[in-house]
Amino acid sequence: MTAKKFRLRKILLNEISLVDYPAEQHSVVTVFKRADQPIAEEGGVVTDLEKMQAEMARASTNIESLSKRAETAEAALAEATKRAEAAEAKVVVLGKKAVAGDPEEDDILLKASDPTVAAEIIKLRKQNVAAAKQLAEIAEAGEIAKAVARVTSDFPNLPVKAETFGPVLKRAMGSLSEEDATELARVLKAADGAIVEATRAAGLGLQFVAKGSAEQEIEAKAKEIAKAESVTFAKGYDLVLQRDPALYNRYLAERGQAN
Amino acid sequence: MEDFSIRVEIAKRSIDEDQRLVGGFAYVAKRGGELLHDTQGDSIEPEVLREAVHEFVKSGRAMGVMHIAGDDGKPVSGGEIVEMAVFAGDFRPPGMDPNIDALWIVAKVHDDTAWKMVKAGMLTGFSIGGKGLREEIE
Repeated sequence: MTAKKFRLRKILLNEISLVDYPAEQHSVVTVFKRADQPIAEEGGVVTDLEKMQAEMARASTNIESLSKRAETAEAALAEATKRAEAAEAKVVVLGKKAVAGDPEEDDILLKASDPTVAAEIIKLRKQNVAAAKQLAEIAEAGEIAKAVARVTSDFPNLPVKAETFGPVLKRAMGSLSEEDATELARVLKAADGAIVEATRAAGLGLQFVAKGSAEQEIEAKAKEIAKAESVTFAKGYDLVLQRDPALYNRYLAERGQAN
Repeated sequence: MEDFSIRVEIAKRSIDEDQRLVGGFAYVAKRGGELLHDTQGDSIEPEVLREAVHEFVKSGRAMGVMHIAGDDGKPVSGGEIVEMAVFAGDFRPPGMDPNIDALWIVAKVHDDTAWKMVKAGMLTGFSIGGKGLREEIE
């Protein structure tokens, strides 16, 4: 039979692959051929009884022989099946180890010495890596969501947007030691509390006065006068300023510095 | 359009272990002016191959392993083709055998296992795969 020859044209290359290379060129393709055989032999009706009996006896012997061969083949098949199942179980174990990234995986791959199986393992391993990456992204998103929720619940009064500060807080906490992270959380909490107090005070019309300042001294004296002379705190305040010009001047100087 | 794949052996002396480079003729189209046919009887004219290579370069230069495809249908990547050229007719470097018209490629093998397979002698050839019109030659 003469092999057909073809010319490929208008080709589109999808891929160039690394492959195993068969030592024998023709092992690439295996073709099963079956020679044509006659369906039935020519012949007429057998009339001779003895000849017929002899044919029957021979056929019987053949059947017996065939039965024995069938039994032997069946036993061999059972044995082969058993071995195949054992081999399959071994391959499954090896495959699982290899895909899971067992330290011995490379040796296992090379011992398997079947490039197609090894290539499939490469595929599975890449799928594992992609899945792990996805999981890491999901975990990262979860951590950010937790940090945003923490900003909202623990530091609701800080002048920040939770969506913006949450990721910053997560990165900061992640880069700190446990002790430092605890301290940072404490400071943020304190700042949040201070803001609450300041807001509350502002709502009551109170002002915060620095310790040791002229203003603090004026306030203290104003309270004393208010109490001693039964006047209002505001009147007491006026009286302090009138009676102690030096203190008033110090107050003005401190205000000027502050501004 | 029919699928095809053609295998060629990696040039044995063209492995750079440090850079994980593997070089070789990915396809030999002609030898001594005669069109070569693979075991399936397929052949590709050098100029047809050149046009296909130009498109392949634009499309991402995918290098697979054993033509295994991922769930997305794309080849499972073992690396990338980093150099390739079709030497045919007068277009060839000085000193190159003038009797061979072929596609030379250099692949960088990124995948660790694939690289070990190359070094262990499990992967010893290149195979180009794609689609094309198959015409019988009289």
